Amino acid sequence: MFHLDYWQTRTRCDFALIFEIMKDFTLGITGILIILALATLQAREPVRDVKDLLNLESQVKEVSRKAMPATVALLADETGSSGSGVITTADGLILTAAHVVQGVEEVLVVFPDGEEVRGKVLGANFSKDIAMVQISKKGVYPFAAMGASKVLAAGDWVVAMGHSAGFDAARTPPVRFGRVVSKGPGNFLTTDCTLIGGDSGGPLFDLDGKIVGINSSIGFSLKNNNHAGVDGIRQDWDRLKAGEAWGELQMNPFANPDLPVLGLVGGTMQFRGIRGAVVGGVSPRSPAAAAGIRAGDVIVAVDSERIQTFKELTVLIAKREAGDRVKLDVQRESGEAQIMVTLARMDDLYGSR
Amino acid sequence: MGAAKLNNFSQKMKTILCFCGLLLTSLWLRAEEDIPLIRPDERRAIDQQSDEMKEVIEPLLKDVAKSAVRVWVGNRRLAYGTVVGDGRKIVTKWSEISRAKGALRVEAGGAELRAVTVSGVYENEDLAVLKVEGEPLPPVKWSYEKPELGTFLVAPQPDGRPAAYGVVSVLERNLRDTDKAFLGVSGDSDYRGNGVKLWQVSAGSGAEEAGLKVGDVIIKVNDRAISGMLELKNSVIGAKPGEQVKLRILKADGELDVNVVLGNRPATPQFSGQRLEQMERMGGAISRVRDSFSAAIQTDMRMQPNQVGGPVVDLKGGVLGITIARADRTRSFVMPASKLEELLKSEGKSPALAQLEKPAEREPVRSNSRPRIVPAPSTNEEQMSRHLDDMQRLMDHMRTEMEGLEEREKNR
Repeated sequence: MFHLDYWQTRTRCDFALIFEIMKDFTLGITGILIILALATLQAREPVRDVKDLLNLESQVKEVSRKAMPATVALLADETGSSGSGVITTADGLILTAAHVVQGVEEVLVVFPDGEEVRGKVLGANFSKDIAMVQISKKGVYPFAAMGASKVLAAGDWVVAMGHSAGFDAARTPPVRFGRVVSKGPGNFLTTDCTLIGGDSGGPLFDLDGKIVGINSSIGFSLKNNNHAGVDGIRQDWDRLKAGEAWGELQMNPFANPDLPVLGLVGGTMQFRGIRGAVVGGVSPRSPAAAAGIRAGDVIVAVDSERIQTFKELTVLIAKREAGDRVKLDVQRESGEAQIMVTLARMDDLYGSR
Repeated sequence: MGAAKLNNFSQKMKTILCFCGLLLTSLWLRAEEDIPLIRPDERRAIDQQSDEMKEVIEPLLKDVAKSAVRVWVGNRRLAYGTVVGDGRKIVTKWSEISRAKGALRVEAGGAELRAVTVSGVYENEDLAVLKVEGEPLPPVKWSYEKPELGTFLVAPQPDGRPAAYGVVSVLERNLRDTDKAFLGVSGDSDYRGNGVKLWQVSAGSGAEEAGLKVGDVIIKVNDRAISGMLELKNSVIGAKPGEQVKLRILKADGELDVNVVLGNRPATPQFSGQRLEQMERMGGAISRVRDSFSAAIQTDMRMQPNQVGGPVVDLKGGVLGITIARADRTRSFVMPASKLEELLKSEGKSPALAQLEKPAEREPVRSNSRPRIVPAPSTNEEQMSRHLDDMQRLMDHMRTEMEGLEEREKNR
């Protein structure tokens, strides 16, 4: 089984501490330092030779073995929906996708060996497609601890599980191996661990067997499997646990209320010979306004990544999260400037539509 | 004269159409590859990583690739094959070659084409044996090691490059429903106590013979406490038809143990629901015959249907079996070496006879037909919105989900 109690408590404490620090200082720099520290812990595993490959294999085997018992199927009588979930505390708190428990108050929780228990649906944030379920029966359950998702980058190896096509008593939840192919938009991330209906709500693990994401949706490409990042769950932890339901299920990232925005109007002007995003206007009370960005400025880089058009700017910003600080390289008549901007949530800036 | 002109014209049209087809297909393939909002640096990172993986894997395939062949008819690549036994036998996927009109040939070692004939067919496992004319080819040496969950698997191309790699998703199992043990009961889904309250006892089943009645509650199977219908199902998965299980039954007048002889599960129509079916095909073509094997290791390898039939190795170079189906977006199946060896001990059916009884296809499939062509997206925005539409549809799918529920429906 899966004895990670010690680690579990420690991780949780660490994060509580992190949030305290962030609150007290409200200095992005602290957050950045912590994220950098975490990033070095989460170094990518290069595969240079067979030894690396064997090492990678043994990690994937270990994750499969340890994390499997915590990967459950969630069946809802009311809606007939069948999805997956992952237990993250010994007392049976389950993380899943919001769309799996939509319109449902109680689910049947099924373990890989077919054992059934009842679970009560707690809260759900539909914008992030995350939700919580609590197993009703008191007990000590196999669980996987939560890891970190923001630190992941394209190329990081991951393992996905879930009860594909519904619970099947004849098999354990299938293991899928892959890597992060793209970060964002917002709290989401994309991997090439192939998913299908029934996998929704199932876990994405890092190579330490920690939960880093929750299976959410797929596109046509085999490389297009989308997961909600676990850091988004941590942010919403208290509200989810308290049973609050909010947000909207939105597959268009540009319509998601959580979309990070600068508060710029642009795109109408694209002058020949100008490489960059020409700012057409700045929304009042927006992060861009606060940072002193003006109409006519040309944004040429986001965090040192060069951009050619306003559209490219929009995409790069959409990949970040509200609250993130980004560095913009701006050209204006007086010369070039570097401007730090803290991204806002679209809904906070423009209100509910 | 007129006829010649017409002929010429139709030739030209053919060329043009063929060219258009190629163009559209390549655009379609590009669209398939698309990941919305991927940044150029992310694309570079994963492409580089893929190259690195291939480079590291390739040396592992040097030996086994010699036993991997490509099966051709005319100028069509039908499937892969694996050289076995004395080097004059090749195993391949029957349903991929059964429709071929014309002489079969295999391409071995990346170069020469050799004439082959079908010498035996094992339809139940969708396997065919080809006889090689002339000099023997290098046969595989099987490894009977049982891989674990997460074990890396690689399928080589005959030229020694990897065709696909992935991991063991599910350990070896029998995919055939009718081979599975059958108790003959279904449960009352409204019942909330421990165990399974019987809602139905199938006529002629072992359960009926043992005297089980509607309303009885099964609380244990062979001393394992049962929490519900799914656990009950799981508890007899390991047993074979004909075996006996001991059930602890709660009746109105007390508990008792009864022994039940398990039967064979009756064949039930596989209706997996249109939505799931659509998702199964998202990501490319899949095999015609894909889920009726009596022994299969499930993996997430993603080869093309015409790459099925070749050998599969682990990272130690042990040949664990052959690929036998690309089943859907998430699943491929490997037939383990032990199963192949057992099969090949018996005489295969003659191909003429097997032709008459068509392989068990789940439904007519498009893997042979032209791919659906999606209009080429001209701008990012269009691409995006198309993708979003897809996602929206899928979201609906995933939300409405899913079969497996039929079972539960039935139990009501």
